[in-house]
Amino acid sequence: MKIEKMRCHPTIILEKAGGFLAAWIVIIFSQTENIISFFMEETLQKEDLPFIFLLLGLLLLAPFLIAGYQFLVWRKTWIYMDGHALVIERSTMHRKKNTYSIAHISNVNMEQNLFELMVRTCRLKLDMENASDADSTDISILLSFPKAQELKSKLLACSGQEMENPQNTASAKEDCASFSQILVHCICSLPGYYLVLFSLLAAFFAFMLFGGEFTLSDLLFEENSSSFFMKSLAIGLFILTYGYQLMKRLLAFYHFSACRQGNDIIIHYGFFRKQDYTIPIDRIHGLQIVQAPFARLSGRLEARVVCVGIGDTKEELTQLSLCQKKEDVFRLMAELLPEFPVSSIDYMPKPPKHAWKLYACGCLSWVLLCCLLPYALLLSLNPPEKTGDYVFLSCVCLFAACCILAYYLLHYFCLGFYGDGSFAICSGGSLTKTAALVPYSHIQHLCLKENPISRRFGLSHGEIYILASMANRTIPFPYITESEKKLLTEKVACLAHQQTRN
Amino acid sequence: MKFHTLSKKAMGCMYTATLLGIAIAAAILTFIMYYFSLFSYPILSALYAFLILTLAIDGIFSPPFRCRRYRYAIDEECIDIKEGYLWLEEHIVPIERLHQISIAQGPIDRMFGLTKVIVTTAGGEAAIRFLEYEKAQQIAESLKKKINQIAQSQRLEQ
Repeated sequence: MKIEKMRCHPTIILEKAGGFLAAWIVIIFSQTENIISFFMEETLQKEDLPFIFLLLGLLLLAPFLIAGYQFLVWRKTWIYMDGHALVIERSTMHRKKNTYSIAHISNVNMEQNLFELMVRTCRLKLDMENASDADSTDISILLSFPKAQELKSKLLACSGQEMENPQNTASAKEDCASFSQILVHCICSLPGYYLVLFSLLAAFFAFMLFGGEFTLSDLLFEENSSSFFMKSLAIGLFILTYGYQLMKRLLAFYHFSACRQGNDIIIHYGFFRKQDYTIPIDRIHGLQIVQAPFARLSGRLEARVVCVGIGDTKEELTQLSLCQKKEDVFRLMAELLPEFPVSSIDYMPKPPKHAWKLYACGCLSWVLLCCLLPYALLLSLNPPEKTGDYVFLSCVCLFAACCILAYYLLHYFCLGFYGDGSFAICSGGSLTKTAALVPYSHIQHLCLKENPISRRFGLSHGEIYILASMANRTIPFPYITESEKKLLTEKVACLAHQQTRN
Repeated sequence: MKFHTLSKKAMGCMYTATLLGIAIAAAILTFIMYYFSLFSYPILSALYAFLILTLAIDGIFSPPFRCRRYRYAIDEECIDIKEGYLWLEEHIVPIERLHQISIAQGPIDRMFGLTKVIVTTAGGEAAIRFLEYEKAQQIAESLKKKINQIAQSQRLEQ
């Protein structure tokens, strides 16, 4: 059988050497004047000239050397399919040949940045179904768009999946998220720490303004103009940073769409960087239903997929649905992933009867360790001279204790575990509530933990380990009863056993 | 499921490892207290004494409890490891999920002729520790056979 070999698109040379070339041009143009004046100097010794010319020659040759090396790498790198394996062979001085089993490809993603959009090329990103490099993209190939499509269809066909039907894709693209939906998503899915930061900033301004010592005009328009300038700059930068972040997210989710095609989930999104994912259903190891603070307040939620290959970089978003009203997400998930019972999160049982006592003990120990102990130490080591200082220290200590208490309360009300059926559903979080749905058939192993108090009440908590990137590899579950523990351990052990026997 | 306990050698290994850890922690703490002249504060000295005493009590009393509580079981379906002293942990690893089995020996383990079997799944790893070398070899061998059987049956299905 004849093996069809191919190379990456030649523009890869520009992409690889582009950063260096841009930096070189900037340095050369910004230093031209200095170089000329250096040669014009009268103090320049003739003996130094050969050395200087050698240095200058190397400097001028550097971009050609880099581009030449990249050209060599491009010319000597071959990509081909050998039976059920994808081979990438590089015959440069550092010779290597990587063979990947196509059957173990987790997902096939296509990505285009602005430059690639202009030159009509496309980056094909493949991730293998293994744990050791779940945090990075395993294979990244730059090809012309038609070639990338062709290779993708070949790979999917070889791994027993079907290439998406262009007609279906077209109809799916019509269901792209509107601008208002994306805007709502970007605002509602702001993480919890943004809310904390905003609250602190608001409290600070309120304190400054209503504390009686400052007014807004004092704060901004002081006599010292440089101070005014610096404050305006700081506020401007703050607004710009948030504006930039919001704009970045808006563009990242541009034309977001997710659809089901046979046994695959197809996701498209992006403006400057177009992303296109094809995730086989059986490679999805879990589903996360996330509610950020603003989303919780407005009764919205979003679904994220947990699998190897998505989320390796910041640009790779794991969203399966945007932040929408609960009913809309449930309806969408029933169409996209009927295998995952998303609506069950509505019937999540609360933690067992005595669990609150355990969380109360945890809260108390943190208050003791972080507030009372440092407070006692500070007072005994350096007793304040004024009563005001005592009050201030006590207020700080009380505030810290309240924060810990608030965290524990918020955390407690997020907890839940449901282990019946073929899924384990674990809910947790504090400001942001996250419910993870993990099929028992995808649980790799289990760790149960008990402390002296939980043992007394017959409760245990722990972690579920799944195949995913480092951030999602362990899914914690809250305190569960003996019967739930038995159910969980039996299902984890037996399902894996039955899977093999069947 | 039949649980196995550890041999007497394990107790010695646990004692050595725990006391060594405590000695290092105490040395670092003492150095910090001395270097920053913190011994001159009575409350900090009392806190230091309390910490050292707690560590010493832990070093003396925890190994026998940990040794007695350490159990492991291997059956057709899974590996179950229970360990801990006050805070107990139980690892349940389905045999079908095993990707890798390795045997490792640290310097203290070597002193006592003990070793550990590390089982790795796609989600992480768990270890059966303080095993005698021959026992560890047996376990690794039997697990290897089981994995091969599973792989063969999967291949036949395909």
